[in-house]
Amino acid sequence: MATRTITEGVSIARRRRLSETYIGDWLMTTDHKKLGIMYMVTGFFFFLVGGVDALLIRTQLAQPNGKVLSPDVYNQIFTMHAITMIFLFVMPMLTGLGNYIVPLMIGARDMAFPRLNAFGYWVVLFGGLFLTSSFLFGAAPNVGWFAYAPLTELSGAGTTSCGNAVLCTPGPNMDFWALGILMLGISSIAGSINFVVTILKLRAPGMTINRMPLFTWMTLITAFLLLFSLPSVSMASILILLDRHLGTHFYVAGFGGDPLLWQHLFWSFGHPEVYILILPAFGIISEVLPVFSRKPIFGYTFIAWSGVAIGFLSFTVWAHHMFAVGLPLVAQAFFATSTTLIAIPTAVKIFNWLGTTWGGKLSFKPPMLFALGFIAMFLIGGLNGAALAIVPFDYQVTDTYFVVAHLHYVLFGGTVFGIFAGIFYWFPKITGKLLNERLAQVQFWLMLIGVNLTFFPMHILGLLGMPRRIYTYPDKLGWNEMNLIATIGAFTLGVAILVFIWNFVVTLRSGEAAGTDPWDAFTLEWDTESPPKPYNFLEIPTVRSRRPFYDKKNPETADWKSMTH
Amino acid sequence: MQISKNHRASNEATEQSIKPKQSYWPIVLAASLTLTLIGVILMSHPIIFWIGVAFVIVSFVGWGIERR
Amino acid sequence: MRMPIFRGMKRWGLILSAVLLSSLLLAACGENSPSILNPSGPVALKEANLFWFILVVATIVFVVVETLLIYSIVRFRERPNSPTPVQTHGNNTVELIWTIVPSLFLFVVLVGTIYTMFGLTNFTSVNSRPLQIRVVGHQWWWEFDYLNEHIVTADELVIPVGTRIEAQLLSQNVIHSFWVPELFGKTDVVPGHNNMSVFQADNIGSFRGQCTEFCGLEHAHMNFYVIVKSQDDYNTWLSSQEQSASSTPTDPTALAGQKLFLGSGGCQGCHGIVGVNLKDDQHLNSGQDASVLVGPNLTHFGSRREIAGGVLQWDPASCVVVTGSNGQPTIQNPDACGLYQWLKDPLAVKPGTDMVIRSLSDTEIAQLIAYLESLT
Repeated sequence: MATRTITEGVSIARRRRLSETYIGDWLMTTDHKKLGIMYMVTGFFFFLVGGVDALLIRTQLAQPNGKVLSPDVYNQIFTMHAITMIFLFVMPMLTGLGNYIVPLMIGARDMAFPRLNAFGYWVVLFGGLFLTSSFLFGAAPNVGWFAYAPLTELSGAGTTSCGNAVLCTPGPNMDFWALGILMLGISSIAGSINFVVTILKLRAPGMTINRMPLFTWMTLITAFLLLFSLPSVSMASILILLDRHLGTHFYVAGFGGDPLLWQHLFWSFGHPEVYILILPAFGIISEVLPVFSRKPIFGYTFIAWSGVAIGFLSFTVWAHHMFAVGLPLVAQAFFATSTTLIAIPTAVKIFNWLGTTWGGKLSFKPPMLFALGFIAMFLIGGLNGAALAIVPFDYQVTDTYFVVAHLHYVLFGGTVFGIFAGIFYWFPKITGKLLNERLAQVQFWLMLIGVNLTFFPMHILGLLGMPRRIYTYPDKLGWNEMNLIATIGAFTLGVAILVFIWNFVVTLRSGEAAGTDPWDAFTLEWDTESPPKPYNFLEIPTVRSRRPFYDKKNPETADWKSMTH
Repeated sequence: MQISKNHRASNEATEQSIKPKQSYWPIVLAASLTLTLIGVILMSHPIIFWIGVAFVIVSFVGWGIERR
Repeated sequence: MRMPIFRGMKRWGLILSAVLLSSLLLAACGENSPSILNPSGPVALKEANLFWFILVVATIVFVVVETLLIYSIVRFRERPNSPTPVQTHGNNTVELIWTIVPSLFLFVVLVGTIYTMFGLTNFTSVNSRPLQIRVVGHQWWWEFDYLNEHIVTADELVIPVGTRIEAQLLSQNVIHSFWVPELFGKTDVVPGHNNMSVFQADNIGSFRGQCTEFCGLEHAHMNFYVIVKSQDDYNTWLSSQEQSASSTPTDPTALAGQKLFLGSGGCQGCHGIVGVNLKDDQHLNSGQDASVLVGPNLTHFGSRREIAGGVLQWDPASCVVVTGSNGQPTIQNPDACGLYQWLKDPLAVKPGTDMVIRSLSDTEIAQLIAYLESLT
């Protein structure tokens, strides 16, 4: 067969179309790499917004009887902090990284449905702006990110207005919540369909399911989780909109409804959602650790299939968020069992990551720093999470700062560290430049210290009886010191992020050129230019093992020579 | 000599034929959806909602018949 | 890349864990926090013991895994003459071991968990008869109806020591959660559901409780106290609570205060006092159910110390009624008197409260305080 070439198209002199202008190109793009960048930039912007929310919260709580924020504003801010971080930062950021990297990793030229991909992005941007614009109306969602009924109803049961006591949510706050979640759900469903079809149908020749990179595995599982869990919360949102505007009573007791219906529907989404937030990060770690240990991932099959197990089990544990609501004891025992069960595949992953570093040749470049930090911090989140499965103990600490500690260790110590590992790892591929190592080290240590300073004291606060979601607390209850430490930690984290932004700006302007393969990596995305050409690969490669690029660079010791997979 | 991109002498692939084509329907549909949901918030002026719905329908059709 | 800080990391890891652990213990023992590790009742005791067990296990796992991590970092970091590592892909035996061993251990923990769950309310009591309370969550204060004793209090739940308490949890508005960390784990108060919290206090004292489910604007100010008395002291308290309030206070200032209570637009629009506008703990003089009143029952407010879900506290010693320079009653030191601040401007103290009242003069406030102080 003749040598393949890909040429630039013939250009004809005429007026430029919208699609050929710089702006038009971005507005009309369907290219997975451009969309990946757009997702990530948008996600990072909302990370800053959510971070400001967090700093406001911590400033208010730094001292007892704080007067920085009024209760109404505080309630909006703590609600939006969670919504922004979950739906507008982590999910778009992971979707963006997946969008950019997965097609490259599997040897494809783009995602299966390019226009659907673009649609998913624009819905996130518009949905995020829609939701955040609610602040301008003074009506941001103010009922917690979990928005329990019947607080979210339009009026108190049996009355048509709320009276002065603000029994419920008379303003459009809850409508913003429901509509925003519906929009973002649509985006995630579009993205998930795309990932599932792309990963199942567009892999390079020879790349069986058992040979695809673990980041791709985790993205696939996450996509299935989204497809099966989003209908629950979408339905819940529609029902609350009906309650609020069309006079139904799905969640109102006394009219035949039940507030607990909301909780079951919400957590049937909410629990898979937290695995949606962490699984791609597990995938990133599983890519970074081998490269910087100079050996393959230990227990590939176990990591892949434990991810599948977590995916299935995540649908069986939802009521562990509801241990205190008065469910029958037998039901609570069931959920205690399923929650204990889901700890096992998670532990298996941690052991396999340790097995990867064991006997390796570790280099502590920035991606590896964050990957190791991930393991250290996620372990803590896993342990305090397992503690919460012990139901009688949960009765004491649920709805307290102990849970806030848990969720932030897994989401910040876990997912955010994982995201930064991915950013530092793939930045040179995306931009052709290497982020500054010195600044990365400063950021890493500030983040590691900051996470522990901010969130470890919250374990203690929970044990000392401090509830969640309170806009202030009294003096003389022994909570002052821990709160102050947590606030100092939060600002430390803020500084760390500023260091990252500085690194990012300085590198884009005058960073060191990265070359195509700065880390001597193993997977296909590195066998391209930095940044890759629009068409990704000159020739779609044929794959013979789990580390196709390693094989290409090391033909004598290639994996396919020793492995049967 | 001008060669149109649909009639090529050789079997060479061009960037345009390999890259997915650009399209404005995704952003238009997304904007229409947003307008519709804003219309739900502003239900005191239902016209916004219905304009949004109209745009959504137009976008679905446009997306569907777009030649790729 | 040289990272000198990594040297001796094993040592650092152990020191760090020791510091964290001790800080936990120190924090738990100090101050007057409503700490779950300060159990004063059988339910909280079982739950606290579970915590200590969890702490030991979690610490062991933490130290083992982090040590392995830090050891890898130190031992396997690249050095100039490190060889290329063996390209191990896995080891099925090891996988089996580290799946099965944790599973067995977790199974044992699970069995213990379920056993404890089902036995939480099996404890011995001094009294043979449990005390039955109906707990009603309002926005944002707690009502306590003593079902068999026919008294109603707010924000303070007085119980005898060593007695089994069966608390029915009701709400007519949103979800709340009933929690006293030193006595028992929380149970949510869900509209339309009849949840029950069963507990007991084995020590005399005052234990702080709080709402622990976000319930709106002033969720942060929905606190209460469980006051545990000896059986004798409880009986004394009970008999004074069972008295109706006097319909004509003797003190003229207090009498003026009662007139304000009963006057048009007065407090009786939202509050009830047995013997004044309530004929008994559950009914207005007209026979209507007392639950139409939005505010707490004030029959024995004088013996309580909490205001409005614990947002303020007061006591008669800091709310002394004196005669002012104009010959009218006034409060001696208004800034020290929580009740004064509350009556002066409830919305400033607790934004969103239902207590929207006209502006009261200092004289009127003093009269009301004198009256409320008399309601012991």
